[in-house]
Amino acid sequence: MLALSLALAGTALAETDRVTPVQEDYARNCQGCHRADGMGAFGSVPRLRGFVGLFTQLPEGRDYLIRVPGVVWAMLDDERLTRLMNWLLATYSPEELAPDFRPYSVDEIRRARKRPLADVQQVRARLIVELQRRGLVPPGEDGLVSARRAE
Amino acid sequence: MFDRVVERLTRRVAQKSSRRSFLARLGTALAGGALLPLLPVDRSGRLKRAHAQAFAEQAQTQDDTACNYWRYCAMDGYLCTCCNGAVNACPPGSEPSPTSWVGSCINPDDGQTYLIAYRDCCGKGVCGRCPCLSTEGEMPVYRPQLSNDIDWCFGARSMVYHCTTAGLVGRA
Repeated sequence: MLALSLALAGTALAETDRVTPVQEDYARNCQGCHRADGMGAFGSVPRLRGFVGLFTQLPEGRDYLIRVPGVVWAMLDDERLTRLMNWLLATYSPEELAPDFRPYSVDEIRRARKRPLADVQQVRARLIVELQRRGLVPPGEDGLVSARRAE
Repeated sequence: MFDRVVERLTRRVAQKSSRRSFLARLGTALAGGALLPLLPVDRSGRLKRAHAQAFAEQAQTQDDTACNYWRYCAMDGYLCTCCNGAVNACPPGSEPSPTSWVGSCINPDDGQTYLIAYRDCCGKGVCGRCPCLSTEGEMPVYRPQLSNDIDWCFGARSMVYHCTTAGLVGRA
C-alpha cells in the first residue's frame, strides 16, 4: 500500500519538470502576477508575451522596464536581476524588441535600481501613447486589455 | 584652541605609536571588515531553507485536507480540498484568481524543493472550513507583496475570497 502510494506520488511529481535557475527567479518574483505563460491578468497585470519588448523601442521605455517597482525591489542581486530581465525579454517578447536592442548590462540595472519610478502609471500611460503614435501598438491596446481574461 | 588640541593629539599619537603598530591594526581592521559582512546576514537563503525544512519535517504527503500536507508550507487561508474543490481546482461556483502567490515547499518523500502557486478561488462567499496559517517566505509589513494574508483575487471578476489551492509550478 505504502509502496503503491509512493509510486503514485512519484509519477505525479515526475510530471513536474526541474526549472532552470533563471526560470526559478521568474517563478518566485514575476510569475504570480504575470503568469507562467506571460499573459498577465485582464485589466490589472499587463501581459509580457508579445508585448513587453515594445518598450525597448523607446529610449525612455528601455529605462522604464528596469525602474518599475517590482523589478527594482526584487529580492535578487544585480547580476541575477540582469540575467532575469534579459531572459524575460528574449523568452516572452523577442519579436517586439528594438532592432538595435542590446541586452541590459549589470551596471545599467544597478544604476536603475537607485532611481525607482514613483509615478509608474503616468509614465506607462505616456509610453503607451507614444507607442500608439508611432504605430507600434494599435489604438486602444495597452497590454492590459489584451491580457488573459478570468477563466 | 582647535589648532592646539589637534597639535597635542597628533604629537601624542606620533610619540606613542609606531608605523608598524598602525599597519598591524589596519590589517586587523581590513581582515575583520572582510569577514564581518558574512557573519549576521543570510546570503544563500539558508534561513529560508531551514524554515521550509522545519515544516517538511512535520509534513505528510497523504492527506491534502490537513494543514501539515507538504504543499501547504506557505498556505494562509481555507483549504479548497475541504470546500468541495481539490488541491489544484476551485470548488464549483468560484473561479480561480488569475494571480497567485508563488513560494516553495520541500516534499519529505524525495527531499526536493518544489515551487508552489497558492491560488485563491474567488467570487463566492468565504468557505470557512480547514483554516491553515503557515508563514514560509512571507514578509508582511516589510514586503507587502510577499504577504500571504491578503486577498489574492487580483484580476478575478470578484474580490470575494472563498478558499485557496496549492498547485505545483515546477521543481527548484
